[in-house]
Amino acid sequence: MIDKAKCFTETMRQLALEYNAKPEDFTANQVTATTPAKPDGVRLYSHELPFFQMA
Amino acid sequence: MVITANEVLHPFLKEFTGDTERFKHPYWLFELPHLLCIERELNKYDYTLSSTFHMFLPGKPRKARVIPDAFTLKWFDKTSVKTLYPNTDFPNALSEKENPDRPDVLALAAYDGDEIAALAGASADTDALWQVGIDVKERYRGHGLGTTLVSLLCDRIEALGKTPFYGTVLANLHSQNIALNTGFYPAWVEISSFKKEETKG
Repeated sequence: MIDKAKCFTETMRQLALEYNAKPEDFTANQVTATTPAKPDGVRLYSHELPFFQMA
Repeated sequence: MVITANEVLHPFLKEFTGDTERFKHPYWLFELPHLLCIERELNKYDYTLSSTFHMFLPGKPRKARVIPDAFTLKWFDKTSVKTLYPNTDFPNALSEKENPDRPDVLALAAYDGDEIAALAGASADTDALWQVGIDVKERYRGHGLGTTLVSLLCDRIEALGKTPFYGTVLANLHSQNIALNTGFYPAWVEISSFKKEETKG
């Protein structure tokens, strides 16, 4: 059985990489806006920087 | 809630999302009237919104599943999965062709004789996060094949030390039920954008 909390933490870390943000930004009760970046290790659904993306 | 966006959108986003009366909870941004406001802004730059993607992570015990007697199972690894290309019948389970950005690394098929009735597949979207997809041919639906294959596939992914995740769209309740029945829970929602001349999502 996978560790639910660990899995969630690691996934938020992955999203933070992709949204140029911090993991805690995704669960904060506010909107964080960043400019796009595409460092190594992101999920690649497009080779272009996102124009708009929200999670 | 995080938005990553081209700098030209930031003045709009600052004003729009700064309305704390309207957005007491940031997730309200995903409600259709608010998405339409964002859509209108994107249209000024010839962009349009994608579908919303509803993403699931594993978090609950998975029931043991057994394939119905009428079907046989076959596993495909990252090498043998290539024998299924070009893939047109199972677009959620596998890429159409080899995709180095998100390689298909594991698949499980349920066969009715020589015919694949259902296929579950996993792509290594990152080294650690493997996305699971499932397709069941229409005439084979209602046998629990989708739930069984996804469940067995996720067991194998976790045994390999990887994390399965599952994504679907808002109105695909059948797909969402497969996720819920295989130990996943809703973890996050995503939306993106694309140039209007492209056809996506």
